[in-house]
Amino acid sequence: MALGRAAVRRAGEDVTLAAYGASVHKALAAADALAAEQIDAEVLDLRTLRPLDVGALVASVAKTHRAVVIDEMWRTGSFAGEIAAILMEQAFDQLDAPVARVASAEVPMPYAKPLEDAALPSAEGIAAAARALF
Amino acid sequence: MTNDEIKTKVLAALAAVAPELEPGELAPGANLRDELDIDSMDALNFLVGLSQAFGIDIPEADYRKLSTLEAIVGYVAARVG
Amino acid sequence: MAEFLLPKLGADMSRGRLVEWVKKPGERIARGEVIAVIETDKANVEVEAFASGTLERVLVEPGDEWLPVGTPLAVIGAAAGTAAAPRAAEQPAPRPEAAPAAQGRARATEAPPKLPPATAAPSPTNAPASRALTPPAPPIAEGARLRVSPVARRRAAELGVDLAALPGTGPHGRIVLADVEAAARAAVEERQPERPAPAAPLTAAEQAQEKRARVRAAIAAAMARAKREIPHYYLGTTIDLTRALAWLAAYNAERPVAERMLYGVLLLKAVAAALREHPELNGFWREGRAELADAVHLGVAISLRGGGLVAPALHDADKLALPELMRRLQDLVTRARAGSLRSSEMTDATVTVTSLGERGVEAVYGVIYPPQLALVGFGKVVTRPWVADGRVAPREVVTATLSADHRASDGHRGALFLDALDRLLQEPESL
Repeated sequence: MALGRAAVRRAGEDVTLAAYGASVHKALAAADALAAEQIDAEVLDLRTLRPLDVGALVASVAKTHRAVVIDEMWRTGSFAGEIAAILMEQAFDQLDAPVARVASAEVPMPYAKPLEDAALPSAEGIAAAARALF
Repeated sequence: MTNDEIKTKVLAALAAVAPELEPGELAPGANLRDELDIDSMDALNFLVGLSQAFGIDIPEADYRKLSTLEAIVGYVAARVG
Repeated sequence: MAEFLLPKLGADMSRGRLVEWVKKPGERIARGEVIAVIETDKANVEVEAFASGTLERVLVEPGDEWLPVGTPLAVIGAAAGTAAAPRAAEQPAPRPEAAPAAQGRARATEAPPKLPPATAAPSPTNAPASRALTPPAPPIAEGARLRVSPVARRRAAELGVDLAALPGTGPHGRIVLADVEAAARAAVEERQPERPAPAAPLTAAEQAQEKRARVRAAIAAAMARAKREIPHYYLGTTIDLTRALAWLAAYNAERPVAERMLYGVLLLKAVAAALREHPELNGFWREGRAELADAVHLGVAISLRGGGLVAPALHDADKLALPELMRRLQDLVTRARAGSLRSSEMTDATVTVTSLGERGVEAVYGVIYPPQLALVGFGKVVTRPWVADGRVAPREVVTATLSADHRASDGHRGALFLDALDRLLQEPESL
C-alpha cells in the first residue's frame, strides 16, 4: 500500500464521502442508499492520515463541490475537523455547501454491541448528512 | 550572396512580423518603423529572424542604422561578404 | 456531470463564436487544458476546461453563429471509465428530498441531522452523538449578506450572473452552483429570439470592416463602463532610467539578439514588485468592495495590427526572473497578434500596464479595465536636463502614471506606489 495515497472506492459527481478504516464500508453503504435518491456520491478512502492525501481530497471536492467527512473519533477534536479545515483553506472556492462531519458520540465507547453501533457513525447517519447538503 | 538574394531573405523576415506587408509597395528608403507600424517587440523579433537567416550577430548599437530596407540590405551585405 | 458554458472572457465580452473543438467527444480533459477555440469580438481565445473529466458530447458545432455568454457548449462527464450515473432529470431542480427537510435543517451544521422518518433506522442513530459540546451559532440576521456558496459566487463572476436577482435552492435559501448555471442558461434562452437570421456571405473587405466594428464595440462597452462606474484618480511622476538602461545595455551587449531584453521588461518587473508592496492597487472591485488578489498577473496592453488592443495576463510577473519574463512577454505578444490567446490569459489580469512611448507620447493617463483597480502607464524615454546634487546633467527619464480606483485606494497610497516603482528602477540588478 502506498502511504499518503487515497483511493476512490466509488466514483461520483455530487458529493464526496471521505472516510478511513472501518467507516469506508459504511460510506459505501450510504452511497448506495443515496444513489437510489439520484445523489451520486463519491467515496474516498483516505487510507493514511499522516501523510494525508490532500491532493486527492481537493480534487474530489473540486468535482463534487460538497463533502461529508466520516471519523470514528469523538466529534470534538476529531481528525474530521482537521480535514474540514484543510478543505476550507484549500478548496474554499470549490465548495457549494459547508463541509459536514459525521463522528462518534462523545461518550466512553460502550461494550455492548448494539450500544457501540449506536455510538459509532452509521451508514444512515452518513446518508442523512449528505442529503442535508442539497 | 547577391543583393537581391539578401533582399528576398530580409523581406521574408519582415513578413514574419508584419504579415500584411506587400513587398512591392515598400519603398527602399521608407522608414520601416513608420511604414509598417512596427514596435520594439516586432523589431526585436525581426532582428532575431535576421541574425538567424544570415548567421550574423547584430550589436545593439547598430539597431539605429537599420531603419530602411536599403540600409538593412547594405548592412547585411557588408557582413556576409 | 457538468456543462461547459461559453465563458465570459473579460468585462467587454457578451458573446462568442465557436471556431474549433480542440478536444473530441470521448477525450479526457484535465482542468486547465485547452478544450475549444472561441472567437470573441476582440480575438480568438483558446478556452481552458473549468473541470476535469471526459468530453461526453458537444452541443454546438463550430460555425458563424454568435452565441451569448453562458450558452452550453458541451457536456463534461466524470473521469474516464466511470460512467455517469443515470439521472431522473438533468436539470438542476432541487431534489425532492430537499424541500420537506428544509425547515428542520437549522441545526445541520451542528450535527449529523436526524434521519427523516421514512429512512431512519428503527433503533439508535448517532444523532445524540453531537448535541453536546458545540452549540449552534446564532442565526445571521436576514438580509445581512446574500447566502451564496463559494463556488457559486466564483462561477457567477465568471458568467456575469447577478446574484442579487437569484433565488437560492440550497439549504437556508443558499444560492448554489446549480442556481447560477440555471440562471445563465435561462438568460441565454431569453436572448435567443433576438438573434438575427444568418446574412448573406460577406466579402473579405466587409468581413474585415465588420471585425473592426466589433472590436470597437467591445472596447467601447468596457471603457464606457469604466468611466461611468470607476472614480479614477491620476498621478504621474518622472523616473530617472539612466542606471537601468545602462545596466540593460551592458546585459544585452554580452548576448546574441535572441537573448536580449527590452527595457519594457524592467518596467513590468518593477511594477509587479511595487504592487507586492502596495496590494491595494492589485485586484478587482466586485459587489461593492475591493477584492485584493494574492498573485500579481500583469495585463499587458498590446495593440493589434489593424487596430484595437488586448491586455492579456502575464501570470505571476512578480515571481519571474527577468529573462523568463522577457521570454513570456515575447510569447504573449506573438500569440496576441496571431490570435491564439488562452482563456486564463484573458480573464486573470489583476492590473494593466500600458506603454505608448514608442510613438512619442510622453505620458499616458489611462482608463482602468474593469473590474481591475488600477492601470500603470509609461511614456517615451527621453533625454532631459536633470538636476542632481545642484548640477544639471543629461539623464534618460520616463514619465510613469497611475490611474487608480478611488473607491479602493487613496492618492497617498498611489503616491507610495509610484515612489516604490522609482526606487526599484534605480536598482535594476536586484529586479
